[in-house]
Amino acid sequence: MIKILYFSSYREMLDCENEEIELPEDSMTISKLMQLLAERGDQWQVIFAGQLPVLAAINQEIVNADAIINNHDEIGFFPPVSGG
Amino acid sequence: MSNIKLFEQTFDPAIEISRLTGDNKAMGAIVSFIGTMRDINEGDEVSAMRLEHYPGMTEKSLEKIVDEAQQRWQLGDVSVFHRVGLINPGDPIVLVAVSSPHRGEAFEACEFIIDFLKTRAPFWKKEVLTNGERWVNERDSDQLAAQRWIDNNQSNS
Repeated sequence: MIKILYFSSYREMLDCENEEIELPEDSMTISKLMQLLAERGDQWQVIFAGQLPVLAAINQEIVNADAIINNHDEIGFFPPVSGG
Repeated sequence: MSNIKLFEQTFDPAIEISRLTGDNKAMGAIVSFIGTMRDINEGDEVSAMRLEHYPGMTEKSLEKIVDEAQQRWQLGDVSVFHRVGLINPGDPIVLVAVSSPHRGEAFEACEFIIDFLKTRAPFWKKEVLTNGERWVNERDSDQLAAQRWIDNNQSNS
C-alpha cells in the first residue's frame, strides 16, 4: 500500500486530496505510476500524460521521474510551487 | 540557530527582527526580507489570497534551504516565517531574517533563502478576484533567480 497526495490546482482538477493504492509490483518508478494514473482518463490523463508540468515527491523529498517507489511510501504530486 | 514557522494567522515581522537584533552580540549585521500581499496582479484587483502547503514537507524543505545557507555563509540566527491559509492585502506573507558578523554574508544569505523558497518550497497561492479565483503560476524570473546561485557556486568551486 502507498499513499498518494495531490495538491493545489491538481487536487481540484482531480477532485481528490489523497488516496491509498496497492502497488501492482513490489516497486515501480514515478513515471510508471504516472502512466497508471493517466490510464484513468479524463483529468487524470490531462495531468499525468505529460501535458502539464508535474512535480513528484517520495516521502516528502522532490524526486525525478525515474525514482523508485517502495511499499508504504508517501507520494506527492503537484504543480510548480508559487510561495514567498 | 534557525527558527522556521508557519502561521495560520497574521504575524508581526518586527518582533522577530528585534529578537535577532538583541540576541547575539557577535553579529554586526541583520538583513531581513518581508514579502507582503499586493491587491493587484496582472492588472486584476485581488481581494484576498489562499495559501496552500504540503504539511510536513514544507517545513522540511525550508529546513533544507536554511541548512544550505548556513553551510555556505557564516551566519548567526536565521528565521523563516511563512503564512498559510487566508491572507488579506497588505499582510506579510513571508519573513526571511538573517544575522551575520558582516553585512555581505547577511545580504547574500537572505537573498539565497528567498530565491530558493520561491522555487523549491511546496506552497501554492490562489488569488481571490472579483469574478472568481485563480491559481498563481510559477514565474520564469524566480527560476532564473534561483539558478544564479547554482551557477555561481559551480564557477567558485
